[in-house]
Amino acid sequence: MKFFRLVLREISSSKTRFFAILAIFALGVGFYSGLGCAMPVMKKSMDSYADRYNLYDIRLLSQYGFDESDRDFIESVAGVSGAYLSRSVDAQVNGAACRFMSLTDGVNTPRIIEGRLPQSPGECAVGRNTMSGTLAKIGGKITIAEQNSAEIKDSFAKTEFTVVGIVESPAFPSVQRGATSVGQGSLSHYAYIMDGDFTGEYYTEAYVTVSGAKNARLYSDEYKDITNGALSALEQSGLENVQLSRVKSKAQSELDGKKAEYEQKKADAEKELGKAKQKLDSAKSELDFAKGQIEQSERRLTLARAEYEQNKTESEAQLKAAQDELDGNYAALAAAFGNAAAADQTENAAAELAAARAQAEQRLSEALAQITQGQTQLDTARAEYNAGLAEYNAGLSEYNNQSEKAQRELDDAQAELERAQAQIDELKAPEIYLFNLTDNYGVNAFCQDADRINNIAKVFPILFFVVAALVCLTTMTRMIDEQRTKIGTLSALGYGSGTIAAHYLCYSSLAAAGGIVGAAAGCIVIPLVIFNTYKILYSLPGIVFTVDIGKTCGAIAAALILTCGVTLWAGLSSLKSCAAQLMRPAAPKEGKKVALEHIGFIWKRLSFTSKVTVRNLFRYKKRFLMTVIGIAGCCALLLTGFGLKDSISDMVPLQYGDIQRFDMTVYLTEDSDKVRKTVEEGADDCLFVQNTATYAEKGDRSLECRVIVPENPEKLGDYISLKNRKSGAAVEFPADGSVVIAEKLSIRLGLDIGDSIGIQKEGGGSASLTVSGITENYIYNYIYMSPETYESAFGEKIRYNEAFVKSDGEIAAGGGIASVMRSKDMTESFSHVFDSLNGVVLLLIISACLLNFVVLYNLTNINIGERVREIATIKVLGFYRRETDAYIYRENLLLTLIGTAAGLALGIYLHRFVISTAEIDMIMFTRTIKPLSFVLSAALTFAFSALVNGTMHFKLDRISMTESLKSTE
Amino acid sequence: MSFIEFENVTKIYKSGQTECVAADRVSFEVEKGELCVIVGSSGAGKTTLLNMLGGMDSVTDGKITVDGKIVSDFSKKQLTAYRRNDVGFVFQFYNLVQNLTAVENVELASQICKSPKDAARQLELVGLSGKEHSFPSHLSGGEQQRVAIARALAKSPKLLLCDEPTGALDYKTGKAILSLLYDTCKKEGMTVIIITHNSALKPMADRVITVKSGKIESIALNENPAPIEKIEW
Repeated sequence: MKFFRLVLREISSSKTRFFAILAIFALGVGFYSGLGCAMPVMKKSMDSYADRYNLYDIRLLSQYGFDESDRDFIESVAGVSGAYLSRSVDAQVNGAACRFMSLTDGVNTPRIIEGRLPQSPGECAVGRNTMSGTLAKIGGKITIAEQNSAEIKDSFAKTEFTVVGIVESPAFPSVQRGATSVGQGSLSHYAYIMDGDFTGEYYTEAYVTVSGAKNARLYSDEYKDITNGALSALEQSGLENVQLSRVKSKAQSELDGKKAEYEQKKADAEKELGKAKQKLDSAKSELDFAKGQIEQSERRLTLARAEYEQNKTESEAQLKAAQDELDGNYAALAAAFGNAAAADQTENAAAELAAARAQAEQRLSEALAQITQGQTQLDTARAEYNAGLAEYNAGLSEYNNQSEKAQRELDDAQAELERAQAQIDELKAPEIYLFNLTDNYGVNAFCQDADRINNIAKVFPILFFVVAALVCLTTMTRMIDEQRTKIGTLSALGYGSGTIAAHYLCYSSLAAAGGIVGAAAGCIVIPLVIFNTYKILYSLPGIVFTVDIGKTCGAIAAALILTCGVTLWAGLSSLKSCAAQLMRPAAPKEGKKVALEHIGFIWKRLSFTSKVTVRNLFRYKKRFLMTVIGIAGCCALLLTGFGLKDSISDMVPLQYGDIQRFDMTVYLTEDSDKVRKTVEEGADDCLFVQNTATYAEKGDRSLECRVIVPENPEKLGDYISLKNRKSGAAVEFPADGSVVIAEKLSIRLGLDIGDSIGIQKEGGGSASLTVSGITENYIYNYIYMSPETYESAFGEKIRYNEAFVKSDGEIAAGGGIASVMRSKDMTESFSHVFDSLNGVVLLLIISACLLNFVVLYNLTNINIGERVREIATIKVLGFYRRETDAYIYRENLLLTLIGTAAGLALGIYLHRFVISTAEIDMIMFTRTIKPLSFVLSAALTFAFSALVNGTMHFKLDRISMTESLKSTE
Repeated sequence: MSFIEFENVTKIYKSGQTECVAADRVSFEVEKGELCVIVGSSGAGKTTLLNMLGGMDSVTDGKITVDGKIVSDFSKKQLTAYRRNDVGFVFQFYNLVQNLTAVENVELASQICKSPKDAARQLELVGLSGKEHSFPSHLSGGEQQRVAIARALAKSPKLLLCDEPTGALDYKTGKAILSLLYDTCKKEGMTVIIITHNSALKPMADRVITVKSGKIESIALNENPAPIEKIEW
């Protein structure tokens, strides 16, 4: 107990020293474990979000879509705990691409931020986007834009939806929602609508949850193993064949129906035609019969006429003969009987003759009338017949036409059916696409960001730890030196070395306990700051703390081992010496000439005080190194912090001012003369380009990027400056078959000029081209090529879908113009995002400042402690206060100067390292640190140095001349 | 008026509740050019007297006059100026700056005062020619004390204060150092005050002040100081 009291007294008598070590370990361990658990905290937060809102594990897409039978099949696959069908269609809304999805019960449950989920047709809930704003407020309406393709428009039962809720989906954790095939190629929004508001027959996707995956930590190897197992089970399940046979049999039955219909139709047509034919035929035979009768009547009439003529001739001849006879008889009679008798006699005969003649004439005229009547009748009959014939002929040709047409139609139908059959026979198994969560843009990006933080966590704390160890070493060495006599006395009193060592170990262990405090604070504060920073880019409901016990305990243990090790190392030589030796004052450290003294011409020119300063600096090499390393480390941290801020804030103005030299980007839905005219009228100058979302590839590495094809390559230079970042030299626009790529692509994919780059288009089409230049670029990754290169590489015609515009005026959207993005607005929205990163930067700067202060304070403290006698001596010699301060400060100043210089140099590399590990794929931070940051870092370092010196002044003042000169110790 | 005058000088050290009277109404005088030895046993308060005289410590009560100036009334800054220009110190443990060569240690003092003497010449005078560029750790105790004396003298002080200058030295070397101090006093007419617990040094002094328990026990004047060579202890 006495022993412990000794330790406590030791602490209370050296509070500054104790707390300096305590603070430095609190900082070191806190920073290390805090940054160390940032990644686990981020991942765990995402995991709990995914678990709570039932995020899917595997997403399936199929050419054939899905139906309930597919779902049952998927659910039967080993490892699958649930399958959920959903519909989604990407469409343009208000000039931005939006994914419309149906609600799925049991998976990807949207988190309701405001309002409610859609419950009836025509309602929708939109996803919140903290960065670019939400599509509409509750009560607002969103409309499927007119410019969408007919196919897309037909996929919806309605064109307008009323917003009833604002949600966040676990499937879209990032404000970046990934790629789409509509609009400009990147998805900006999503919305949930009722399943019935889609017209599609099949579900477009199936979400699968994997059994056991919920219990495994998202992003962990365990999780990957589980889901990959289910993924390969699904791959091998033969789902495509199930779908094929389903689709085939369905199509076949449909076709069979059509076939039967065809046959029916055919029979009907034939029957109809037959009937018509029959009718025609009977008409024909009637006509023929009529014709026969007419001919017969004609013949009869001719006969009658001939008979009449004959009768006429005959009766005339008879009458003539009778007349003649009469006349002869008269003459005979007259001759015979006289005329009178004759006359008398013949008179009767004449009367008889006249009667006969009248009779004959009557008969003849009757016959003639009959003949004439017959003729009239015949004429009528002929006319009738002729009309009938004409009608018949018309009917016949009509019939022929009809029959021919019917035949043709039937033939066509037959061919159609045959083609359909062939199509069915040719049906192939569908391509089924399986995606696990690592393919989800946001989920994956979040993981990458967490890993990036972890990369930083690997470097910074080590720097902290190194500084802490150095400071601890110096401090403990000094402490044991100071207590030499005490150790000797204890030793002489009979305490064993073990006990004495334990005393100091106890002291340093207690100091190292600062690490526990630091760890506790660090594990809360640092992840919180980082998490809140990333909350701007990711929508997560809340932070879930977790502590990497191993790492934290490791850090604390490391601190403990470090201090104890250092203490032992520093104390070992003392403990080895015998008590008597220890009680004698230590031999003062020898003075030594420094290298500079051998360079006469410099040394001679130095004033006496400078000489002393230089000599003193190099006398305590260990302390010199410690101080320089300590200051350099802090200064490097500061510079890294400020440099990060520069890199982040410079990037946006450079991209949208220096590199992209136009005022707005106009997104076009069509490339027509009318649209071009609208754009050209609103612009001082403009350039039409095709902007295509692609993936750049090399080996197995791939990066999202955009291919820009300018209509007039020679004009591109006025709009986008292609130049080398370091030299500023202009980069030539690529010749045919080659491309100019953004610098980030060259860094991430390891591409150099002359290498070949693979470009994969969203939705098929790929090309391999040669890199002819690498250009400065910060936001998004661009590939530039000529129209000829594009057309020959991808084998498709260019459709210009954007215009770079230089204008101070406005161009309104609508009528072929989807939207207009002003570069100024872009700058603002990006700046907003990156401002959030300043939280991390501030954290860095504050930690660096704290470390800086502690290190300087401690080291100066030791410096003074070690040199109390020397200081007392110069005070006795009559150095004024100011001169005494200066005597020490000059050294500190020089140390600070050297440390700062080293720190600035080190900081450049540290900054570069941090940037290359911290930046995300679509962004390249600027590599340059502003001169102001160098000045600020140096100034802050000096300010701390001054502050420390200021506090030291009082300590110097308190050094008593009389006390210090009495004895050697 | 004497060169140095102590009038009823009292010094009380306070630490917490306890008070320690280190000097109790001390009065004495020393004339210019005298070699004065203050003797007393350990803890008698002689160093306290020296500290007050040298301007390193303030008085609790009383008055100290040096060369007509009332040192006991000096401000901190005036005390520093007084130490700087008027007083030379020689300590038991030499108090050389280890990291400076012999000549630099002398320069450390000479570069701040008004009319310094040449540092190298001073070292020559104390018999250290050829060792100007040696570091203290390469010098013997006697040699280090010579450097300390040279440093004290380089400022051409009015007063040389020596606190047990031979305490850490062997007999022979101690004698040589005392001889050097004696010579300095006589040749340069410098007022030298030596503090020692060794009564054997009494015969060499012009004036011997004996201190006991913070009080002056006796003040004796030596008409004929004996040469150091003759003194044995």
